Amino acid sequence: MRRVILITLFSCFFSIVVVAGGSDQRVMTPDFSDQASLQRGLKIYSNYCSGCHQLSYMRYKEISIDLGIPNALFEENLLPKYARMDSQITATMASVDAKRWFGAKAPDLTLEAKRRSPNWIYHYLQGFYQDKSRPLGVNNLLLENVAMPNVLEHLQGQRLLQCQQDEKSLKSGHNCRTVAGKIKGTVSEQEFKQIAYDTANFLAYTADPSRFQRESLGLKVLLFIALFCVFAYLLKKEFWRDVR
Amino acid sequence: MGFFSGLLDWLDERFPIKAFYKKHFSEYYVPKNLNAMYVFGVLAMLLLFNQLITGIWLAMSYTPTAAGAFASIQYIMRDVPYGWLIRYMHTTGASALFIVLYIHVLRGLLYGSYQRPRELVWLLGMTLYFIIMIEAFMGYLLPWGQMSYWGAQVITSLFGSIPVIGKGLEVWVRGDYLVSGVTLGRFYALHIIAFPILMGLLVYLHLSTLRHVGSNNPQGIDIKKHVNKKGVPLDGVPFSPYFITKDILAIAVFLFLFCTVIFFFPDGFGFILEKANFEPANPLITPMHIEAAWYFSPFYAMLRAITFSLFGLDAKFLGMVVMLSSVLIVFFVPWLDKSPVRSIRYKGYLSKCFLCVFVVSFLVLAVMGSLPVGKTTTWISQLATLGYFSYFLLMPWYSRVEATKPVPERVSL
Repeated sequence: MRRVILITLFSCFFSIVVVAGGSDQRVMTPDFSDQASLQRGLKIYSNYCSGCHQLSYMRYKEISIDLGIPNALFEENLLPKYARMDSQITATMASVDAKRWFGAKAPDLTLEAKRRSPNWIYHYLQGFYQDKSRPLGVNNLLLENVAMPNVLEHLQGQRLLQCQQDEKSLKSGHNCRTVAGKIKGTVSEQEFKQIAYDTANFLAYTADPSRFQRESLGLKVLLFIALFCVFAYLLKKEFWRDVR
Repeated sequence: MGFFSGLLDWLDERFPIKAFYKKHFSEYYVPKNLNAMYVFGVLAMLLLFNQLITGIWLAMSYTPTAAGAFASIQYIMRDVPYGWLIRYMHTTGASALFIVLYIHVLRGLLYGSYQRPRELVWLLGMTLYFIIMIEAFMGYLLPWGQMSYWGAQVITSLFGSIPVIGKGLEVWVRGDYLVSGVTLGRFYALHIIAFPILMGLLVYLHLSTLRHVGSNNPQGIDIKKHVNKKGVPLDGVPFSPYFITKDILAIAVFLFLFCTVIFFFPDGFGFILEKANFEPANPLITPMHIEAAWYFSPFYAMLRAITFSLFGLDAKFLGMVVMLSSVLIVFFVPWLDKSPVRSIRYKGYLSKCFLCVFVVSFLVLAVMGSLPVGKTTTWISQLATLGYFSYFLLMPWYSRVEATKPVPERVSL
């Protein structure tokens, strides 16, 4: 009986872990149940990223279904003229051009949230700062000498690098941060954080689209097995009763 | 009822299924005192079956070419109905199989299951384990991620460290000067055809030798010594239904844990699916830290622990020899153990200490193998390597000199 109780507790614990999460501002935790956030993330991707970065393992149709965007609406507003709903999402910039213009191919973003982490993307998008020594005039705290321009600059405003020289912060390696520059952005700091969150959340989704189906199926499977465990235990107990 | 018993008789005249059922299920007597440590054999078999079935379904949609492999995995994960489930079952299954096998081997060491008359069961089991290691290593290349590629590159380069014939052997194994689409093609063929057939054969041999000599038990008592008039062991219970029901319970509990990982933590916090493997293989960019899959981590740590050359032999070659010996030495345990008793329960203080040293060393090596190389990790690995080997190499001494406790005549529950 103790085993049964343990198993029940175990399943409760895991379902709590799965349900938990939210939009904490320091460590970003993806929240797939927040469909509005995912839709806003798609909007950011379409308007700012999709020119250069492809999502080549994703299809338009899949996104329209998972994010609850009606097919017709999606086709009219979000589907590029050259693509069909079941096409994979490609970028318009050719990789030859990318190499000539930026010195590197723009990475495919489908799996970026798995390769690094959603939290990394969240902080990366906020990590740009002005740097005259770089060809595009910007650099990034998380990815030094990045070849990507700060495409969200007009939203965020200019950011400047501020480093502390005291020993404690030098040792920890987190001695630099960015502060607001002279040119202000069109959105507030808090709104920009939300934009970074939504984008990271959307990319977390593209890296793991099966999660919708996986977790709802998983709960049913675990419930079934838990019930099966009870009967298996009772059966075993019954048969072994006469063994001394 | 008449039809089925008629069919059974018809079959039995042509193929002895009734005798088979009697011999292996209803009249196969198993010690009644087997504890929870004895369920990992059946779990290993379940997982091998899982790997086989999910593997077949993965092979239906996988493309074994350098250009198409990575994308075909994503195709399975996204476009194939329930492809994600099949793949997570395969990847989680591989990790689970190693956990189960390590406990299964530990069980053998704890209760002396390798001792006379079960030496052959042990040898066949260890051979099977060795083949599963190679099978897992080859399967790891197939997703064609960065770590897949560089892991294969490092391990195949070990052949190159063998004096004289090394360089030629390395190229022969890879089929190319570096790991390439050619290597992928041959690893795929071996992974899905050659090694599964070998594994099937060895599972059969491992099980049939076990069935011939019978299971050991936690007390290491021979139950065949005390039999009734019909020759039935007094301390045994028939496999069916007693151990069938016990195994079903074990499988159910195991499946609960297994499915929890599959459905809620399929990446296994980066241990089952490594972050670097979400990036396609790139022969031009070497990752900063190349690490082995977690289940090879202890052996990888031993490979890296040898940092010095000896007798004019390269450190890399010596490392490979140590790594290979660490697996091969386990084969010899039946002849290294000179103890008059089987189970750890009746062995002396020294045996218990050395078994602890062995387990701790193995776990420490597993951690060290997953950390980047450094001065501290290297000397800890060297110390743990010594601990690992001391368990085996000193066994003829400590198992002979220590005082053992008397073994009871009959088993107790």
